[in-house]
Amino acid sequence: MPNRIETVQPVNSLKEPAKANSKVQHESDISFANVLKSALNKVNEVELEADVKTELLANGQIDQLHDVMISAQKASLTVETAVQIQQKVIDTYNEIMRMQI
Amino acid sequence: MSIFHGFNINASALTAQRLRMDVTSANIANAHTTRATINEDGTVEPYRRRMVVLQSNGNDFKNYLQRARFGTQQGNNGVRATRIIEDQEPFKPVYDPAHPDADETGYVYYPNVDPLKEMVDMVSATRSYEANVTALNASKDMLLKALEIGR
Repeated sequence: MPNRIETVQPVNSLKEPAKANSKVQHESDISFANVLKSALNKVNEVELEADVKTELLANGQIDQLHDVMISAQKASLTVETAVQIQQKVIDTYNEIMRMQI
Repeated sequence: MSIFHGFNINASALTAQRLRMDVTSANIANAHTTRATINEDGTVEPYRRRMVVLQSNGNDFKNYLQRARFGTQQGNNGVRATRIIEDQEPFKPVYDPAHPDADETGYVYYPNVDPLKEMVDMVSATRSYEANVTALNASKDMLLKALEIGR
């Protein structure tokens, strides 16, 4: 029984059948948990960047005000995207839980 | 991250327009500066009007190589200020023998700054800045709209 959701694999294996071993390894790298983890890390990075920029602004060490604003906007958009994805995932989970067996 | 490509392009333009604004401010501030540079022999020279040279980010060597090899374009196509050049227009002579920087004939040379030009540049920089902020907000609204897909 597949216990994880996997993204669609590219058809590289058709061209290179010898690399079947590395494909298995590759699949475990892109498990749902890993994808989620790296995505959340990226969200966190963007947030941290905005935080650093805000702190620099407060210290008077920033010379381009728009950089701060743009970083804040990027962070807010990334978080918003993460929240939307999280809602979708939870919706999907609930849908599966409601399934009649 | 490529979804913020548009943001980065507009951010580079905002930085460039800020620099234009700063240079214009310096020109206006030094419109009557008769001693901007002091030569080795002790003579003074008035301030020279400065101008910003803007260049697209896409036309450097790396990009030409990428395009030639893979047919793709790398990097963002934002803008960057490559140089600040000096206006080579002649200085404006004013007859004022009492001025400490007057030459033997009694003429003082004032900077080649034309306040009218500077005002036009200032308005142009301000409007460009506003346009880029508007474009940035439009990109943001687009991304927010994308998040509404399927809701």
